[in-house]
Amino acid sequence: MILAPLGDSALTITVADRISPEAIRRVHSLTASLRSAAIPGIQDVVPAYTGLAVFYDPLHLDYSDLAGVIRGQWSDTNSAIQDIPPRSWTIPVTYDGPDLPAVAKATGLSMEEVVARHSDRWYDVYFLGFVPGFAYLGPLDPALVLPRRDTPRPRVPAGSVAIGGAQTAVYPLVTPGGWHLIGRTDTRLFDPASEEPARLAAGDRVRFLPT
Amino acid sequence: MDPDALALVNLALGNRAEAAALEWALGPGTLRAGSPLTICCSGSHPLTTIDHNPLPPWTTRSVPAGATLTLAPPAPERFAYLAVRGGLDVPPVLGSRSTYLPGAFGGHQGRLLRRGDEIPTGAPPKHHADPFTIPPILRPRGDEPIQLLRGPDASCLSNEQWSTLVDSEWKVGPASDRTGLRLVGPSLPPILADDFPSAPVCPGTVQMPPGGSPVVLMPDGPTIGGYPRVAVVISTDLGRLALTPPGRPVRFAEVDIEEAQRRYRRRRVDWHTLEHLVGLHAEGGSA
Repeated sequence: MILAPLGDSALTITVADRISPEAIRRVHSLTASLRSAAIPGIQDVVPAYTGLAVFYDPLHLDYSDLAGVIRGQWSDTNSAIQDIPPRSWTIPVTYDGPDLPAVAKATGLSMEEVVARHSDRWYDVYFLGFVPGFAYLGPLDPALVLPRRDTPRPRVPAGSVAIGGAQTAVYPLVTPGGWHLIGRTDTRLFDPASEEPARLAAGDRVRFLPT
Repeated sequence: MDPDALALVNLALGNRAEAAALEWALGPGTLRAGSPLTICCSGSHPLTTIDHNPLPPWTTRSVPAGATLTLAPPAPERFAYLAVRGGLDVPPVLGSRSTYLPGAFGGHQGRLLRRGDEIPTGAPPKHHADPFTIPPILRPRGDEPIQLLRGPDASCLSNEQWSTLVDSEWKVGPASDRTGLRLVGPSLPPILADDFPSAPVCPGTVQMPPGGSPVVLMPDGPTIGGYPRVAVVISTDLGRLALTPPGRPVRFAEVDIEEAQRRYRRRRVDWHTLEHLVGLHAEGGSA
């Protein structure tokens, strides 16, 4: 476990060099554990693939004290791992994305087979990032793994279902994007007026249902 | 983009430091006071006139109902702030009244203001004093280097590359916005980090994309980023960097975490001092 300042009001905890199911599981359990510890001065805990960030108020805590607390209570791998029961979501998708033919061509599969391979599995929500409500989902069927588009689109429509590398996602807002658009959904993944604005959370499971 | 300037103009009016105010980047613009107001503006010289009378920055001024406020384009700074006593009464979204344009929420209907918009103001604070001028010692000073900390991935850079980043003269490039500022300067060799796992970032994070031109993430930036985080601009200097005019050289200086956090606390003490001065002034005025 490596700790480092991320500016004056956050620190990062890195638990692994490379992405692996074990690293992701450790990140999720450490995130849950730090959140439930409710240390005064900690404002947010943000998980990623191989580590997480802890945001805190330097008026209440300084870096060395917080790092000491984290090292003292969470450096033991086993005590940090707790299995959290995942929530499951099904998202209906119309598979008519503009990149579907190109994805079929690049993978050597038929469009029907691309759809079947994309929708025929449960995905883990690794974490949220990029823009509000954007969930990184994986792992993708290895046959569908493609590099990103050479030129990102300046405007990807909200609700676009996309694949990129070994990941898949739904774009919750209109944003630039370099992933391949294979479908669209009406399911709203981010609603700032909702009590839980982001529909998906790290650790959830997601499946796509062709319509 | 500059939370410190925002805090100062608010505190001068007796508002909370984070009360909603108007940020403008381009201009000009014209506002009309629908009711009597008291306002305060940021800037290094007057940008606002009230019925053609220039309003000095960092000073509170009352505006009669019906008066016309004219905002000049901020210069040389990139952004300027106009606060109103009581704050702009826009509804908080996710704990903030600021506008997030990519998500089209927050602020006034999640968008830039346009002609004809009417913005309500909130209830005035209990303690306030007029006119109040922020003492020069508490105003932003723009001449010091921008302090930065080594980032979690600073080891991606050789010592020589780190020196190039810290010791060179940079400029804020034109391809900059509320998501990030692109720094233009010496070319740093590309960092080959194909398998860099996306990792948490925060405003101020200096990312090094393969192109070799560093990007400083700003308030609308992501929470997770895919490029090495070689440095982080300290929070008390990020607003100053955001205000840097195009073409003006920017210099950095490395600072350690202890000093960065001391500066953070000192900034809060300065704000508290300002609140106290406004309070004293208010008591003196009413006695």
